[in-house]
Amino acid sequence: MKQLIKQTLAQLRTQKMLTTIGIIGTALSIFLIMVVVMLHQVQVAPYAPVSNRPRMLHAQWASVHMIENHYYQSNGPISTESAKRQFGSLSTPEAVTLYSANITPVNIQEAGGTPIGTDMRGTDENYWKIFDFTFLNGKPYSQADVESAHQIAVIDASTARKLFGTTEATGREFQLDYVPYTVCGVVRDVSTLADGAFSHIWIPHTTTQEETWCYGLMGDKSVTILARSSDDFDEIRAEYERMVAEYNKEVAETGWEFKTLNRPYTQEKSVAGGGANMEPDEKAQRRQRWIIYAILLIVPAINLSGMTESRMRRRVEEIGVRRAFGCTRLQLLGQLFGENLLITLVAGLIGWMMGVAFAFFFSNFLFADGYSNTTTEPLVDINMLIQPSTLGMALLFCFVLNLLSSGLPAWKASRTNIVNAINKH
Amino acid sequence: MSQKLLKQIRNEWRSNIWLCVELLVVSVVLWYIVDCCYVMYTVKQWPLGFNVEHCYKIDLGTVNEASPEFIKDLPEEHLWDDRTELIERLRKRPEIEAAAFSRNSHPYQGSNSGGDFTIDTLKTSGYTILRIIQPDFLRVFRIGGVNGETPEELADIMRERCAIPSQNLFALDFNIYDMRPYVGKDMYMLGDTINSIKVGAVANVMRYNDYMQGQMNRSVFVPMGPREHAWSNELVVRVRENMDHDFIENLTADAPKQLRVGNLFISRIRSFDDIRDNVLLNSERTNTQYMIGMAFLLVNIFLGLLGTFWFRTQQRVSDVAVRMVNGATRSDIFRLLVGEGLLLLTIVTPLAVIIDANIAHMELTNFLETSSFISFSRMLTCAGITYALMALMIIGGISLPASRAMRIAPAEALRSE
Repeated sequence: MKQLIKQTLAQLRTQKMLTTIGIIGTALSIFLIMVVVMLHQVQVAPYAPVSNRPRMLHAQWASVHMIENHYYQSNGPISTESAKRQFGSLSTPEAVTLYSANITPVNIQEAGGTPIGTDMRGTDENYWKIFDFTFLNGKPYSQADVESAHQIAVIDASTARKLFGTTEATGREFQLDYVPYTVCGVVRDVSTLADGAFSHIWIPHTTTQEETWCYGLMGDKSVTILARSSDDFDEIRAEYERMVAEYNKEVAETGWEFKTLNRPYTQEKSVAGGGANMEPDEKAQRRQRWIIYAILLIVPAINLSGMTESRMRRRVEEIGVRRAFGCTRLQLLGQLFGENLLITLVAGLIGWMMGVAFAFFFSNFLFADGYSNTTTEPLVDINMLIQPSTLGMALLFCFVLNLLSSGLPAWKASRTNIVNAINKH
Repeated sequence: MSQKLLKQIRNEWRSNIWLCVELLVVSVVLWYIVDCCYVMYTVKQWPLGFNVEHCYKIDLGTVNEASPEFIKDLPEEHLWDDRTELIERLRKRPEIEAAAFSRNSHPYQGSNSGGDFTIDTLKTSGYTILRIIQPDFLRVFRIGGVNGETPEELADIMRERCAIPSQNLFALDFNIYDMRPYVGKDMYMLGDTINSIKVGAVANVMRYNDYMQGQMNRSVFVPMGPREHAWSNELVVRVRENMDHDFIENLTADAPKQLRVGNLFISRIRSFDDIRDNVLLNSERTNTQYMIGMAFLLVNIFLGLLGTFWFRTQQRVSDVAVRMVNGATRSDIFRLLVGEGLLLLTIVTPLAVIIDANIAHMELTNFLETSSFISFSRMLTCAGITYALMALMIIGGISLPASRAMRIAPAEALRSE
């Protein structure tokens, strides 16, 4: 190993230009791949308050079709009543929460103060069990609070500072759209990337009037399920299908019925795009990502390969001499391959760090979502970006890039005829 | 010259094959990106048909019964009377040029109403946007008529309770590009065969947004009923150009005192610049991603050529020296090396264009209303841009090693032989 590093360093010194180009090319490629990887990672990786993402299932939207004519359909948030009937008595999951599908813009103010525009979400009590918020002080509202429509609220640290000038705000009063509320807890700010968990203010959903539509079947809620383990997903879906079939019988007189579209979805599927009226195609999304990875790998690989080839030709004599002194082809291949891998890894590390830095500093450009209702910029902390899986992907791509770019030239070089090689000059 | 170049290329065929493969792959991918940008850029150039500068959206909220400020037992008329009062107060403010209630209608609104529209025997198929508006909506967004009617004139026509379809209403279904012959006729909406509304004028096409093509760009403006604004979900205003300073701050400050009517209050004010930026965010980001992809590919060509020719000029020091001894000038040497790179690109390009054409033939390119998936001029433009970009990178990548090769002293170089 020490020998390998020494040799690699010696090589670097003799071929400064080619090595620099090789490192820049590799770093650039890994950098861009990492950005694409991270764009996806922030949507599916676990971090507070969505640390349970691998065990979550979502029914962000619901769909109802007219029984007589399926051309007529309505897709969007479900009503509290329908959600409770369909999800409330599921026995397999650990917990089920329902919360407003969209954040609502509201005005808040301390009595007599100037109104501040911000975002609000109504939730039930289980919300606080499924999402792991960090409470700076106070505590979440309870089942009793939700059932009795108690006017209390959890607010985030930045809102607490704006309203009261401190995060020690538990017990303080403020007005939300001219209705008095008392702060029961203050949590650390949440990133907009945490989708269902994001808001600035959370209140018991029973304290606001839900606007229902389509005979009360639809409303303004989304549902998230926490399974005991991801192995239970199929069972939960099967149980859910049964619940919906039963509920459809009960509401048949409205002339409408629920279509499940294979809901609830895993985190990855839930963010795979598409509207509320169709099942997201996570496979197509995955395919698209891999095509991008392939292009980002192949182009620099051809590039580097050409340069490695040039470098090998310079070393033909060295290779010949080694072979003459009894070095086997396999050893030679291993050495040439290892040399390149070392350079690739160094460059890959640079690329990965560039990727993390870029994602951190340009988070608004990369992660902000169009058509979103909030004006809050996506908050990105380094824990979200440095995921073991991201680092694993970086290493994998370095290895593939190395295999592609130095495999063929190294193999050819190791097969050089000894006599020809030494005889060249 | 070119014979010399060809021979030179043949001698270096080994590394040239790598270069050719790279140029080919990059040329195809780059062309694809250029084509995507071409489509986006072309669509963005089309007139929008509306203007959102100095426009604002005002969200309204209602105080609920849990509030001490809630006014109980208001008669039903307050549903529409309060809103009329509020918009009238807004209109009296000196900086407001126009204000209107509308439903699912304003530009950059992602949630729309739609339906089918029938005139004579012609009925639209697919989604057509129904914009239910108060006439001043046309003044707010400066939407004019096909006959050159100003927004004010168009609004007056609408006050006569007339519908105003867009010029392209029947374009997709019946290839009818001029709607003016239908002015004065009756229009039936949403499958209704009894109640009709008269077509009063034809409006310029109001596009869905800067990047949208197709049926989402067609719409029909229908006047709001006298009480219908009670259920409208949009209140839009235009501020006079010379008075558009701190509008949001001023209105927010005045709102609690001057603009509370009944249980109504102003919950949020957003500028349309803001709304537009938010809606276009995803498209703009796609644009930037294309640009980054393009830059990445170009940098790769640059590096590839830089590396290959750096090595090659190192190898060919004596070759260059002999040429110089025999009277070749420095710029001859430079041209020789750059010419080799450009010739490689020229050899590869026809092959790349064949692949490009196949990709377009398989309809994998983006759709454009005016040229479907590809057209001759579009292909020529995009392939031309691709060639030019790559040529620039080749010249850039080779000139560094070439200028190094130019500078060698022939005597020095040849002495080592």
